[in-house]
Amino acid sequence: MTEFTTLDLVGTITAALLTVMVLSYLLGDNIFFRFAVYLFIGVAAGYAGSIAWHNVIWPGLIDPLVSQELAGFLQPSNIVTVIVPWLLTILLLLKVSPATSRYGGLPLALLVGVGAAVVVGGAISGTLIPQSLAAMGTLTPSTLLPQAGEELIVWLERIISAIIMLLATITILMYFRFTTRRGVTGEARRSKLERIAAVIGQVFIAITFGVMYAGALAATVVILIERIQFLRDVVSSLLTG
Amino acid sequence: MADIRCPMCSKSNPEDAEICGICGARLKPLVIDQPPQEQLSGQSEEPRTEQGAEQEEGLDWLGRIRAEAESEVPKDEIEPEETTDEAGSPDWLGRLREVDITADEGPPNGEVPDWLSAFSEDIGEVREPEGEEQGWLDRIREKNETEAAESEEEAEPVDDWLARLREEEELVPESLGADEITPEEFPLPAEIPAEEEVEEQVISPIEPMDISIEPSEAAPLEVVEDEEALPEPLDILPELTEVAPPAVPSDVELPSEVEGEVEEVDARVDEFEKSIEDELPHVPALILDEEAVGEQTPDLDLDSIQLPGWLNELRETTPQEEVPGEDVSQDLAPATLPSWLEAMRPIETFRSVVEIESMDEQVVESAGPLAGLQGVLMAEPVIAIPRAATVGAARLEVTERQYAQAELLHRIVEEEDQERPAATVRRIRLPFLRWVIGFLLIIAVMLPTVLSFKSGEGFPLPSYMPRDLGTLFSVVEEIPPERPVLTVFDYAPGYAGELNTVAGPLLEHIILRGLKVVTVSTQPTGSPLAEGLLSRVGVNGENYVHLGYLSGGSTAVQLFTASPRETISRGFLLPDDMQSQSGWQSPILQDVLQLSDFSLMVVITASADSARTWVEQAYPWKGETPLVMVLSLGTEPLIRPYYEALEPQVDGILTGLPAAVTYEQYLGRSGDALALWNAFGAGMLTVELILLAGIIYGAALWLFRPSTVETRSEHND
Repeated sequence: MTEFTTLDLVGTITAALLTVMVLSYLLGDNIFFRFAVYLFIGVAAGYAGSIAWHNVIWPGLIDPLVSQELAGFLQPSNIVTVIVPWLLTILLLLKVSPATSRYGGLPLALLVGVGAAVVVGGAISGTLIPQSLAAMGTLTPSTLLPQAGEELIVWLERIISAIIMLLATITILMYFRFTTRRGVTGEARRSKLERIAAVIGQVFIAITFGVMYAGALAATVVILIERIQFLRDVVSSLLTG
Repeated sequence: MADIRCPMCSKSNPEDAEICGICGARLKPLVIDQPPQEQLSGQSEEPRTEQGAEQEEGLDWLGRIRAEAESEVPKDEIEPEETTDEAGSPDWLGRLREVDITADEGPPNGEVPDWLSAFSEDIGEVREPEGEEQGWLDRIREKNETEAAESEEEAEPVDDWLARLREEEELVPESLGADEITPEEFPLPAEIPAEEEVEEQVISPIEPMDISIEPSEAAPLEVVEDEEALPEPLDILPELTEVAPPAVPSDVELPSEVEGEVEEVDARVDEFEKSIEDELPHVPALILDEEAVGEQTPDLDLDSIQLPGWLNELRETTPQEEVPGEDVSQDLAPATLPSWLEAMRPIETFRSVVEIESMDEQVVESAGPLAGLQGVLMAEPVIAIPRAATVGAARLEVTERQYAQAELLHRIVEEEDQERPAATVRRIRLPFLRWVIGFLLIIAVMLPTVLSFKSGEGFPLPSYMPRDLGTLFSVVEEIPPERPVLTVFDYAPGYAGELNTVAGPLLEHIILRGLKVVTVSTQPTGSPLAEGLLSRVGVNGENYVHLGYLSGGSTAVQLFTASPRETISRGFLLPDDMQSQSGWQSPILQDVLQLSDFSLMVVITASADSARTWVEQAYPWKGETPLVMVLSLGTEPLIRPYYEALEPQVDGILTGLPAAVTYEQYLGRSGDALALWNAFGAGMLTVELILLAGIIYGAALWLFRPSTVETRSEHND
């Protein structure tokens, strides 16, 4: 029990010291801040490697070889689950050497291609189509007309919200419209309506970024407070014994 | 008197001169007075009738003579050598015709002058060309040389053909019209028909043509030291046609009449040259190299040439009538050019570029007014020489876009030329502003913490529950308790201070409801964070289980949502009785086969991409299972559209410390969120004050900034 408490105390003190080291960046770049940063990077990489070994490499590649004999390893059922992963892994490892790096193109292409397909497919089916339908749905009469028993202020709020949402969507899309005529000096030439819509879109984008920045600022304030409270708890526990 | 300047040597010649007196280049194009092409073609189709018409017009007398001669002799029986012998023409002329018709490689038909092509066509009917690779002109030259050698041995036939020619001249009427003969119809000896036939023809009157190259008044004569190298005017005949007979050696015995005429002409030319040398200044207009002139002398040996009688007669008449040498020498110095005109002539350029090849390598001009001449200077090198334009160039048409691009390029180049200011020694500035802001923030968040304000003593707590939180609370309350809740911990340890505080009340609510929690993460540090958060409210193995790290990013998420049990999961901090098993062997997950078997999906993340990935990939597979997002404040605006859609893909959102505090209030528990509330309020107030101060400072700078005019004046000063 005592040993555990001591280890826990050491860990807490170490955490407090590292926190102070990181906060020392307020005074400028210094060796303590760098030491803490390098330590975090090293620990994170080591921990990630450990997790990859225990959760991916061992159960996926090593364990099938160790647990099964050669006859079982060469079974047809293991071709896809064991042999192909091993083959792809070896090919990917060939990327280390420039002389053999071209052989690693196959697993790399597989990774990139499958990943891109998953992301694009998910974006289309999970974001683009549902969000487009949702934006169009805000203009349906059943949505715009007041519901039975709905208060006027609630209905107005819904109408204004739908109008703002639609206006923001259109103007931001027009701001990101890049297919325009080129001017004399190569700049994009837009009509006056397009320019006005683009300016409005810029305003909405600025508001969005402002909200995100405010949220990030609030989040960091929360994190700072949590760290300050941690330091206070450590100091108080050390002082009180 | 308008002179004609020779295109070859630039020397002036009399206006009516046909060929240059110095270099022998033709001054007038050969196509003058050529019959139209239709006439020529018609002539070939109906030789008899057309020839009769042309005889009446007095045109192309040689063609008519030749046509008559050919019409009487069957083509198959014609042999060039025999024909020439019968006609009494010299043997070398017959051989010359033979060479022409046997040449298989000559200039293209379109480039050969009409008179020469007609000549070739007539002969070509007699003999088919033979395949030879040597140039046809070279063969002509070779033939000429061989014929010259033969002529030395056969002096008797020379006398014979001259005698025959003289007899023919007696048959020609004396009243030959000058306008009825053209230069291209210049009678070549080879084309002279047989004597008997000539007598039967009605020959058009011919006036002796002026082919003497006596220098005119403005004729720029070249003065060379070696008088023997001077080309004789009559020597242009071989150069003109390239089919002229070779020079007869001097040892050939000529008739006395011919010798007398030649000597008379030579004496007159010598006298003329001497007068020029004595009286005129030596101002060469276009200086021909002496070597080049000397190269021409072997072919221009006047003494060695034996001309027909009619040519000698021409030489007798024209020099006396046309240009007396005395007039030329008195008034105008030949080749005396004005200085400005001399300066304009690109003589140096001309000479520096053009190389005069040897006679064997020189190409015979095949078209244009210089057709048939050898050694014609090529115009291309002169044209290709860059030189300053003597005429003002036309205005360059530049479009507006090109002008703008040129201006842009000019501006860029100008900027490159500008000198950069010397790198000043960077003065170390202390970050006072950063220190002030940091100090204020730390003081603001420490004061409530150190002073240990109780809840409600500091900043007021939220007084009402937000609408989003009510929806989330209802979702958690309505889920069935027999199925586990899938919780995704997709955030880094750096966001643990915020997200643990916000997600804590929700997980506590789930645990309080008796729901089992299954955690998974696409980040290696996700499972330890989950353990740190859940261990506060539950027991590992009883209330929750960790499936561990899900490797593969978006692909792993897609695989997990489609078929959760097929994913490799070693688990994380599994209970002791499950150390050798997978997390899926836990009793908590025994009834879970697919994603929709979970009662609730909770995604805790600080990344918008991670949240979007889970929304997109889980949406087709989650069925009726609600999806709840616990988000960082900075991420929430990007995920809210999924929540506020008419058919929401996200059923609940929990974000920010105020929502967490409200959630704890609703649960009736005092958690971490409530403990941070006062400090959070103080910190946000400080931040707002700092932002306000910054806005005021910026506005003041904008209001009291120096005007643009003053700034410009300062720069000008």
